[in-house]
Amino acid sequence: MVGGRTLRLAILPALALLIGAGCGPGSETQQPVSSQTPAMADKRPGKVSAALQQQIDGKTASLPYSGGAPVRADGRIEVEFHAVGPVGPAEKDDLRRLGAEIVTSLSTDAVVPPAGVIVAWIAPNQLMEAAAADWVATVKPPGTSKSR
Amino acid sequence: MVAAMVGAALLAEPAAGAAVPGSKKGPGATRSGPALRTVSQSQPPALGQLARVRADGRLHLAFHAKAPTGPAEQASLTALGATGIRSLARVPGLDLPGTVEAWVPRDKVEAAGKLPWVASVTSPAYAEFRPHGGPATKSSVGIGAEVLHARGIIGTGVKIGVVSDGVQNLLAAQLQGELPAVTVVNQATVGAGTGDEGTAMLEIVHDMAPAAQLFFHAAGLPPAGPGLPPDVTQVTLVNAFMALAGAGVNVIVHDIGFFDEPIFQQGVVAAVSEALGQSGISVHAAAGNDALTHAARVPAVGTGRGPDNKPGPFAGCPADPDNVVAIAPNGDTTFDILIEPGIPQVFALQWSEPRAVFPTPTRGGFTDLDLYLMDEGLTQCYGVSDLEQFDGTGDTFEGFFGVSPFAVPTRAKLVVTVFDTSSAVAPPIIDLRWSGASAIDVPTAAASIDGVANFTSGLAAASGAVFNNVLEPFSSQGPVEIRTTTDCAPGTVKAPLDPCDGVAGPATRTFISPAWVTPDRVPVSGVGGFPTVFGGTSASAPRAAGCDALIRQAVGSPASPVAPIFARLAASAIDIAPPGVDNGSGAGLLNCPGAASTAALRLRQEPETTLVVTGDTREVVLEVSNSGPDASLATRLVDVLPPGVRFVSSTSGCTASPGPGGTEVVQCPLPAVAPGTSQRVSFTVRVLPSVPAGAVLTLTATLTSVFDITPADNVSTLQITVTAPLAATGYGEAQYPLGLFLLAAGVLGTALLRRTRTAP
Repeated sequence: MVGGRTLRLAILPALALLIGAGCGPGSETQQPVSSQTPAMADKRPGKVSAALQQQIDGKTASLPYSGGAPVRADGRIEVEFHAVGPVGPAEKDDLRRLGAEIVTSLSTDAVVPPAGVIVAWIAPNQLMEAAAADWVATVKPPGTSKSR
Repeated sequence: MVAAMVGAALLAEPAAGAAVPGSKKGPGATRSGPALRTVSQSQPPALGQLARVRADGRLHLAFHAKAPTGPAEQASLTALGATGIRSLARVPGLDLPGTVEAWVPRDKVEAAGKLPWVASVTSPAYAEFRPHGGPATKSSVGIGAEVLHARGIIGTGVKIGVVSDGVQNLLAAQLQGELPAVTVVNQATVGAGTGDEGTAMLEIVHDMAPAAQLFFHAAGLPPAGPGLPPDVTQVTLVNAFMALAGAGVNVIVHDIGFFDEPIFQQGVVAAVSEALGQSGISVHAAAGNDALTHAARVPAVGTGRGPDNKPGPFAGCPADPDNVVAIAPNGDTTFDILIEPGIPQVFALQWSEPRAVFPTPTRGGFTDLDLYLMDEGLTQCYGVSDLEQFDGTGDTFEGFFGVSPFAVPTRAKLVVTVFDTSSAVAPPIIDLRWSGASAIDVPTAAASIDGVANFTSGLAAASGAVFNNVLEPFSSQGPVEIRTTTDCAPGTVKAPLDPCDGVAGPATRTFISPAWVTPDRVPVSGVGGFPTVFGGTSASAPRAAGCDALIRQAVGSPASPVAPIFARLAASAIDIAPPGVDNGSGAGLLNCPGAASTAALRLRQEPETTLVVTGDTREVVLEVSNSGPDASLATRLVDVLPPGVRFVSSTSGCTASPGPGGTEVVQCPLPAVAPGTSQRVSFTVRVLPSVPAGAVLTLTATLTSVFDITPADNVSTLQITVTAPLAATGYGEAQYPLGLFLLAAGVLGTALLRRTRTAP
């Protein structure tokens, strides 16, 4: 995992040059790429969504609208751990060991591919370690529902 | 949930100066689980949920029985000094446990709660009684349910589960006679939810199918603490489906959508809905009310400029949007909206690259798009979502939410910018939608259907809303579009965050949606402060579910597979503008009596055997008779011509098209066949001159109707025996060869033998 991210960082400038020169994959159909700021080097996908990361870092606190997760009085945030497959006691125990409280979970092989999600309250400072588990694909705030 | 809420109310009562004896163990508490008490304590009870206390100290309580109640139960309360006793009216034919309301002396509350017939004790639900039509004049009207009711088709034997926000004032609706007993599944662990949209949906279902057994499951979990909303997620919704399935329901209806349910893929809610469909449970989803709050789907092509050509800098933006997409009509790079004051807003952007959740948890996006909400003057950001996507990693969702900080309606602009494209092979298509703000730029209804209704198999259905046979302008529209513009190579096995080079995704698949429409703006009781006229697709879906239940009873199979039920609903729907099956109204307005039609059709092809001289023509007659009680609808009549036989013409409107293996497929329109009558259609065929004499050719006609209960006699064959042309004698007379004579005699003999055998 870490190796993959490092590799991507290494090839990024070359890719950017290729795309900028019109020689990148699919360059004929691609839109222009904006001139990137140095911040681009820091803008890398992670398992933990940027919205959560920004919330933890307090970067969007000043804006009226944000994409963060619910926060409980004890400081824990509610997040969804989307798994690479079904989840069971072992995955829940992984989270509990980090002090997470499991709210609910979904694990089903009635769909293709089999799906697994755990919703939990977790201390923000444990989030990255929880996300590092092999079975975790994505960590994001719970979905925003709407009744119609 | 009602019991729990009242438990809290009773506990709260002493603060108002009317102490409840044994307040820490009041009647509501004694029969409520700990989970429910937690729920009740997390929400301040509304005034209407408090038990009233009279000057003489009597408490007004509702005693919920385990079975129907009568004079004996009332007498037991009278014996304890209770006054003002009244019982819930019994609904004929329905197994409704009784409820008795009474004013009970404070020191007798505990004893009353321990009476053997009492299941639980709550405060009466002091609903606001508002004028509305009675049950017989409400939801059943408009799609013909009342016609079926008159025939005794009332949903008997069918179990229907509703999933919505809550049924907090279920009892009040029951006391008004609007609802029978409802099983609240997992009430002890999940509660009865928040609000009364579920109650309203149940009322509609009940009006449609008054004998159906009703179930409810809250869409989410109670709030985890003060100031937090109920916990409604895709996980809780799917678990609600599963719980209802476990309770044995045949039909599920829900009205919950999610801004982040995958919109270009089939997410877990839609996938589970269809999986339930495969196991015989109909899932009816509200299509959504997003048609007026949805931007046109456009390719995410960066313009290389800032919003409305403004270069920035912009206050409050982590990075300036400098490569924005023309997301509004006429090349406009900002979508203007009007933010309504004091209400929540949600803004959501997805695009046609893999989500990093089900069904592609290990993949992600290639094109890095960011979403901005900016002030009208484009000087500052109100909201920014700039998640990362790169080479098949990172979730392709951007969104933010909040409550309007403005005191008056305020104009603002939505902006989408292309930050990076990594190895994307083509610009993705974007889907931008929101709530709590009205569109100033022109919105686009197309493809505004909610992701939870991304159905692809026809085994779950979305319902849109009409009023006076016109599609409601807000009713979300199709198509469902399963599209992945760029993906990792097929078969790529990758772990989360492992990058891949983008390749073109599979071909886009589109599906017409919604499946059908029903009228909304339905009168309901309005208990709990819910509106007395229920609008939106949330009010439409329960009608479809109720119709579904009626059809299940009509076909004599409450546990029927989904496909034949949906086939009946779609085939009998009444088309509304625009003509044909379309992405606004689907198959059309549901027609419950039509869907319940029972025809007994029989197809006969005439003649059954015949002689045709090679190169000659012959008329084929197809006769469809109906010995069933209802007219046939939506019949499909097809005759397959073997190689060597070709369609010539038809006065009945039949048409032909090439079929496999040199065949020709003739399709004939068939008018409705009234009970006890028959209809005939005909067409002419020619035996090609190349067919040798002596050949036997078989035409196979097939009749298909989802309403036919006797499909065994819907195939009929015609055998053509080919003969040689007549030989000329030079005297103007035909000379029949001996062989032909013998052949004809044989055919005639066979026909006579058949008739003899089939004669009574």
